[in-house]
Amino acid sequence: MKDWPTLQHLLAESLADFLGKSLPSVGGSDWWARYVLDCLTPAQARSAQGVAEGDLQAFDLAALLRIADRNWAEVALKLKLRRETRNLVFEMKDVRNRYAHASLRGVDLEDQLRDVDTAMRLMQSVGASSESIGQVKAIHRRLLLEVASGADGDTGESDVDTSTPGSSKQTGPSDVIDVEDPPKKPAETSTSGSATKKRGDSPDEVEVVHGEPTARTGGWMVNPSSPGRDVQEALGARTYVGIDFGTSTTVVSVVRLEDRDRLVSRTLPIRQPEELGGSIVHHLVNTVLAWQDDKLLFGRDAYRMRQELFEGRTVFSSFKMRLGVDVGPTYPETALPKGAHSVSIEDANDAAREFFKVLHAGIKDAVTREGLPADFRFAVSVPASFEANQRRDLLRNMKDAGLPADEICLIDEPNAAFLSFLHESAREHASQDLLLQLRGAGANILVYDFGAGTCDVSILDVKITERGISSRNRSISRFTALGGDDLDRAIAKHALLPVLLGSAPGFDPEQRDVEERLIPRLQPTAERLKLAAMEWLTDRGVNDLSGIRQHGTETFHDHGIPGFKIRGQSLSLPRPALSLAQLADALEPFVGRFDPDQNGLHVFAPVVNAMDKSGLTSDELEAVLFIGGSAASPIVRSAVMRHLPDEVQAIVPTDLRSHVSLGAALHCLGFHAFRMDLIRPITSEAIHVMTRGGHLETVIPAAAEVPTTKPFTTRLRIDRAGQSAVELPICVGTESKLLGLLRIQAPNARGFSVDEEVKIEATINHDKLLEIKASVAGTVVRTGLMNPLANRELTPSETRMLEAKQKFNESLLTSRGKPSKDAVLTYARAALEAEAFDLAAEMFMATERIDPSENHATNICFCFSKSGRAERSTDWARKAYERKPDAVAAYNLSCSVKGSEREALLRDAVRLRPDFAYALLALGRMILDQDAAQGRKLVEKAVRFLEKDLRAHRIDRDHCRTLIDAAKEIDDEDLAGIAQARLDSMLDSSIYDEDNLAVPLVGQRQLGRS
Amino acid sequence: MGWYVPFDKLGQKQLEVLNGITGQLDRPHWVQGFAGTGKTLVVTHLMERVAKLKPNSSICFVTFTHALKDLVSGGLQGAVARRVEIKTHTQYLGERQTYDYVFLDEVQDISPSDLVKIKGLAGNLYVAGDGDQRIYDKGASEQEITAAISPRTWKLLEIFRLTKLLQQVAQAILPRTKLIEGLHSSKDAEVTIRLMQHADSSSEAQWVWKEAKRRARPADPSVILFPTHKSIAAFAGEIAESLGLDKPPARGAKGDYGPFNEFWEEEGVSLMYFGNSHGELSKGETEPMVYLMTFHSSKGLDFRNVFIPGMQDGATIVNQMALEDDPELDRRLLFVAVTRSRENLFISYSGRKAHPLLKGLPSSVVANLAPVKAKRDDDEEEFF
Repeated sequence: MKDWPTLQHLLAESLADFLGKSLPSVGGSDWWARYVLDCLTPAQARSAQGVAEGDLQAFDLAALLRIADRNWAEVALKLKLRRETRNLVFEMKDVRNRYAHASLRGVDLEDQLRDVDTAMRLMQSVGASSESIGQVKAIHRRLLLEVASGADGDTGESDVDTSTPGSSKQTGPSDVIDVEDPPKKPAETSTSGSATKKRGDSPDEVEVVHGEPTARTGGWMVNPSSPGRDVQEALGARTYVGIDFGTSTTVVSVVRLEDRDRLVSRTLPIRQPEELGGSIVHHLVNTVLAWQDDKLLFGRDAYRMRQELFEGRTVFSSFKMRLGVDVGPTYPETALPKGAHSVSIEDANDAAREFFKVLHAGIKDAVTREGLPADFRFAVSVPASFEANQRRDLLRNMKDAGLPADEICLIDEPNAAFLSFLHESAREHASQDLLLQLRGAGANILVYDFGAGTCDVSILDVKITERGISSRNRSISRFTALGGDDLDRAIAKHALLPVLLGSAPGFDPEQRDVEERLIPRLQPTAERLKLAAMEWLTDRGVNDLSGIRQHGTETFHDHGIPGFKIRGQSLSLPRPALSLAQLADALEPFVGRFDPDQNGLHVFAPVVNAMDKSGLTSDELEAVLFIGGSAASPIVRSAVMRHLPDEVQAIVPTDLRSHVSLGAALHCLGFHAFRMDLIRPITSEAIHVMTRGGHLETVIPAAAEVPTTKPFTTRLRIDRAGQSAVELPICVGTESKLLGLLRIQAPNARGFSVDEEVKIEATINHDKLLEIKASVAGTVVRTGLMNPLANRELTPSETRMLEAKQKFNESLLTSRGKPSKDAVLTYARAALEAEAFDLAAEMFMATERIDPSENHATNICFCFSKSGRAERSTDWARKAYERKPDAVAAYNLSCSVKGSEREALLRDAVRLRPDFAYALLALGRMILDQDAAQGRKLVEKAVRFLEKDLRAHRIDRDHCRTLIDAAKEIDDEDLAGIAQARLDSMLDSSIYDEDNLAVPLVGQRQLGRS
Repeated sequence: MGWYVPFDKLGQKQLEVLNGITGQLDRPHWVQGFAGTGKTLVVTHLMERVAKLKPNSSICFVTFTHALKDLVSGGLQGAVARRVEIKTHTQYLGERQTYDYVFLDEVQDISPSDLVKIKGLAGNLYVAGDGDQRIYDKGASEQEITAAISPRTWKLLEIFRLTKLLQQVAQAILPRTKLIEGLHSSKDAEVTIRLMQHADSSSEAQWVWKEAKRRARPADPSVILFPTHKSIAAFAGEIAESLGLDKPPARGAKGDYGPFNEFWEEEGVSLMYFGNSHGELSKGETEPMVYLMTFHSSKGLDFRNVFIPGMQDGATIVNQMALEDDPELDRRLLFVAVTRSRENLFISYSGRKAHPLLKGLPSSVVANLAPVKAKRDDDEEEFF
């Protein structure tokens, strides 16, 4: 990279500045010796001789990165930096090594682009000056232009055979398609060629450049009025179907010729069963299944009946969101267990499969009705941030539903939306200003997809040059699981739940009851009230919270929710109501004031995330393309646009819900008929393998183009003799987002030998499915997917809890509602460990219900106390003490009482267990006022017992926290500091065995292609 | 409010008509079109335009029913709403006030002599209406309208509201209907028309009430249409009985439904009579309402869920005398009723045979159904 020296300099300067400010605050007076000099390699230390103390600017980038790496944990803690920043330091070390040791062949352009991106993000996180960041951005932009123009970078890849010449799978070297004429019909428009350059002053006038439309280059996309013969032939032989499988609504479209061979993408009305036996034909198909009178309904009537049926038992919705999350049977209470009926739905995969079965039948029926060819090809859109496991589940379910696996391709939703926008603009001669901009300097377009279950934001960098359209995905926002459903849940929780609970005074539901039963029961009503209120507001042109509050007393009502019972309590909501004031309160976190540090729920948060990743600033955006049913609300759109400069244009398609499926159909034609990608996606986050010591080695970098043309290879080694197995935890983005675990068992009892190489080859196929092959000493394991656990970031303890939930759900299903004691107890303990105290309390109580001889009173008391339910905690403390008056029970009860009773209980506890630190501490603190010396003595005694545990590495998190406080009370700041460090290191314990991890190959860690 | 479509969403043909009339404001115009083509909508936009173009002029919107009057006044906003006076035609004629611009909807139900009087009070007159929807026996025929006001006629051909299935049903009821050959642009779902047979009128009433209530949601009310006030009273009596209530008050003198509506409101039942200046549609914006209306009052309105009960053989749609004067009146009335539906249409009857007018309904679009008692899953949820 020719700009590497500049980049290196800018980064070194910023890092030195940052470390110079931060290290003294964490390192104290001897920071220079302990936090700088001690970190250096012998060679660096030699160079450091003679450097004046405090002069970090004298170090080169390699040394500064090493200093940063060594001290990052403490600096990050002190400055509250995000944990991801540590990965940036790791990545930057790789980057620096790459250029320091670059071969003659250099580094290819895409890697360069990524490297500059990493540098920029690191500089942003260390607070580099805006001037420096501006310079790096300029480098980034220059590289982007080079990539967009199809340059090859410093390196060629011709020596790697990736495809057979002439094979239909082959794609061009870049995603460039030719731009053809605008429709030639108007008499006043020049007919001599093709549009690209603006001529004269009129924006409508375009100068045309010669070019024959050809199918293979996608000319039909932007020139729909005269598709070539090959396009006509393709459409005569097959039907190209686009499916937007949405969380709440699915839409199917087909590409067809209309009005004298104009190429259009049209929605396909699907016949859906009606409750009474008739049918409903509509292009919007609600992604809902309902079981009623021994019939499986899907779509519109299934959705309508949602309010009357039970989610998870007789009605199944939002199952798309649960794909890839293996928590065992998602629907333990299903009315359709295996073997009972002709259909079985036990988990989200079953629901998706059954849904695709009926949808497939509906597509066949519609295509016959419309007289289109019966030979199908499919393109299915998925959220850009759908991970490999989710894509895998989706494809498998479609295959199980009878859709031909070879004839399905996936496309990311924002890309499909953009295709649809482009095609529609070309057809309708709309958005000419933006098209002109695309033809000029190019434009960054943010696609804001706000569906029922997801909010995905992608930034596309699009440019139309004389050579064609180049489009790349600059960034994809995290899978935030923010969707219209969340608004409904918020309304249910704030406006409806309190009234529902008011119908059963004294009933104090468990957290799981609220989250998994009561809120879902209220949600359909909340949604209907929301829709009515939104319609009312739209009619009156109200599109912000203050406007809503002005009409605060206006109240909406819906049908009563029939009475039902939970835990013997009868609940009912005869007249559900939502005032606009309540609506405004419920919407506040989503569309109110936006605070980037606090407000992850806000509709603007995914935009910030996507912008951060892309390295763009908001004034570099040209337009926001809104799609998805929930973006239909002007309130949502204005809450997004409000935070962007006025120049940014909002594009709202005519039908926000059909837009993606229309684009998917276009992609289907391009991909299946011509083996051409109109838009090539990139991965959203890097995929790593975890190595010993918590280091992440990149397996596939972020922003890698998909599909990968050849495997990325990462080499690790074994550094312990006799290691019996190698475990390779694979994660996405950060270590807490674990995708799965690969395990290679040693072939014999001797185990692996030291320095044996572990080779990992990773590819992502066209459908973004991750395939990993790992080999050690001739033993090869491969996986198309790893054990999928979750799609959001989880701590290992949360992961363990999910695993326990999985077992629990299985047990619940197999025993028809009576889970085994062991399953419940495992779940309870996992919940306790994950600090889900309400759930844990509930599960411990359930254990006692299942087997009355069990005694978990102490645990239950503890859990309630931790979740802030003082009254219940006291009840259980008393119960525990009555059942078995041991030291812990005495102590627990003492927490809820006062005065002499409390003192007596604490003394009893200390008598029963003289080394009981908590009791000693509580007693000491209690008597401190009356007898300071005695009180302090007891506190000190407690501290020493806890310290002993700390030194012996058998202290848990709670004791550690207690020790920190107590040590401070007796002014032992050093001990408090040690305890604090230990607590930090305990935040995560792992589900894999640290001893089984591999380590990087020293000095020759490789990142990139083999 | 739901019917109002903003200017930038108007159809191509609607815009052409709007622009055509604007170009010749100094002569009478007549906007024609099948149910669901947006005649009232075009007239409303025209009125907005005139209000802007002629800032100092007086403007009056005249319609036939109170229901339509409410509807239009709900659609107008801001300055235009303050400029335009909205009256029923009897009010307009009674007051005898002159206006610079008069917009007259449902022209086919105005008698020829009234039409001449209205024209006399109007500086400029623009009318909208469709002869097939004439449901008052005094209403003017097409020739009479042309003779009275010599308008330039415009035909709206694109049907935005009715689905193809509903259109076919309407056509089967009134086979000679014109203006139907146009484009079809409804975005609503094509739902099978449900023709339900019930054992007796009591079980029919109960089923209709339950289903109408169940399908209503705030902003989307259900509407039950009746040919006569007598049939409304009988239906309401059945509902009250099934709910264990007293008999609801009868319609008072001069068609007063005030006490009737108060009765249901006091009982907490979301049921309301709407028509002849009684009841309000705005309540349905915020509550899941069920409205009872006569075929006559429902003119010009549309709803997602429409129920037409009592359509058994021998049921009275219009009285015998009126039918002798105008043998197609019952067909046109039923035509108006079925075309009020935007999506779900439930026609029902009790006894053995359906009304002869329903005989020709195409079997491909109608499901003959017997009501099934749906099993509700309302067990206790306790599972361990």
